[in-house]
Amino acid sequence: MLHDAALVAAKDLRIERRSHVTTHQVAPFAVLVLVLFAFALDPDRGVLDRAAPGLFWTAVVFSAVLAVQRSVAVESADRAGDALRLAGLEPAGVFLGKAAAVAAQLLVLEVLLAAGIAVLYGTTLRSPFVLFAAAILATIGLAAAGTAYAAVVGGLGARDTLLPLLLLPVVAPVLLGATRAWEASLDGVPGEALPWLELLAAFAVLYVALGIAGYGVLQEES
Amino acid sequence: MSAYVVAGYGVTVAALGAYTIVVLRRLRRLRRGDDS
Amino acid sequence: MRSNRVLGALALITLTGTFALGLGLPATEEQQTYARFVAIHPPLAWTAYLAFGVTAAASALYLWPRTRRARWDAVAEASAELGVLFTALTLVTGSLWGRPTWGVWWTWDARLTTTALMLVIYLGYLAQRGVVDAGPARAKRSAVVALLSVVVVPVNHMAVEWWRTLHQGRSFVSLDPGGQLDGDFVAAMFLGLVAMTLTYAWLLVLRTQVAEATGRSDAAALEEALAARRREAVST
Repeated sequence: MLHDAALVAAKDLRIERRSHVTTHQVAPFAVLVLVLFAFALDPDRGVLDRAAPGLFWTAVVFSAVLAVQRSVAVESADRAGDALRLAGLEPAGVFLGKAAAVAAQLLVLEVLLAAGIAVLYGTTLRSPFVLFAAAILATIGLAAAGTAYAAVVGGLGARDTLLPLLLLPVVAPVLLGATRAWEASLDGVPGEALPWLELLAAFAVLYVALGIAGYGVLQEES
Repeated sequence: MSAYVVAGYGVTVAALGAYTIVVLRRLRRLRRGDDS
Repeated sequence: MRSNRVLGALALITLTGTFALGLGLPATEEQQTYARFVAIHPPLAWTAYLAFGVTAAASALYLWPRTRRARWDAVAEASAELGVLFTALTLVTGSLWGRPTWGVWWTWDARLTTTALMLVIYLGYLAQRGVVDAGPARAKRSAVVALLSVVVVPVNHMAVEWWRTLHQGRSFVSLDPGGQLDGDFVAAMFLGLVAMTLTYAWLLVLRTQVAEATGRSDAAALEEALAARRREAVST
């Protein structure tokens, strides 16, 4: 299973390296979201800095929707998804591989966005270890839940509107937990982030397990 | 009687009643052999 | 179905009783007459969560090969639709209760926030059912969606509860009657609980019948269309 996952992850990342969708479309979108927040909120009253963790994670969540949509779209081209199934790859491996690729792309994006809030909102990135831990856990959860839902609705015609509608309510706890963890770090009380890190970890484990189960169910021909 | 309480009870009755009517109508149409 | 008629009659009786009891509740010092909501708001909330649970259970039954039957998919659809209805009513009655009592139409406590999230999740579930025609593919997909989505409800409830209580010194309004209510109010709420549950159960049976009949008529229409094509193909 892990071998299949590595294969699929490598394939997806290679496709990204050739097509540059994440770097040329999703990343600019994410930065644009940060900029738009500055238009919406007054940049001169310190609101942006106080809201920075929330704005950061909101931008990440929206970018995650795009990233998983893209991840599923590559399987629709030229019936690639069927080819994966015919090649005998384990569904759990396919899920883990795709989710891992999405997670990797999101992490790179988050580094970019972290620089973004440091520069654009004047945020000081304290307690980087906690920030990083929260980001890893949150990203795993987002990638797992996102990949699972994208696989479920990916084949439907209305997937572009359905996927956000289905996925966003489900990742609400991740947004909550990640924002609170980052708030604790940036406010200089990283110890308070601990319960939120636990929440993020629980969510990640839960949705990795559910994603594996879901992929298995969807792939079975009945 | 408070307007809020009346509104609350009223909405509940209205919504449950309307839904019931819609479902019963659909069921009747389906049993007759056509559904729209 | 004879037994469903009985169920319906019981539902109507208990519902009428609830309304009579509820609207007749005395004014309290804290809540004046607004505590009358206790006869309908908590029962609606309980039923909404029950409906969600039934959708998840029916979905699981559908996915389990040994219990896979189209009826479970029909139950899941029916319960989800009822869930939307009861959840929406929960939020509306909650708002109407909160406004005169606390001065706010909305508050971000764990229960309300989780209920609102649940409404959106239900709507998403129904939306993804709506884009495809009935059939085993849709049933399987819907079942997976239902199960993926149900787990977030308790997770989110916990998360929001921590969020709103870990903050020192922040007291938040909650639409809890506060446990200060005496026998009359508890009786009204309990009757309301029974009434709403019976109403839900009665409507569930009816709405499931609609879903099953629709599925059958869709399948029949498809068969008819295919047969017509075959006849055409043979005759040309």
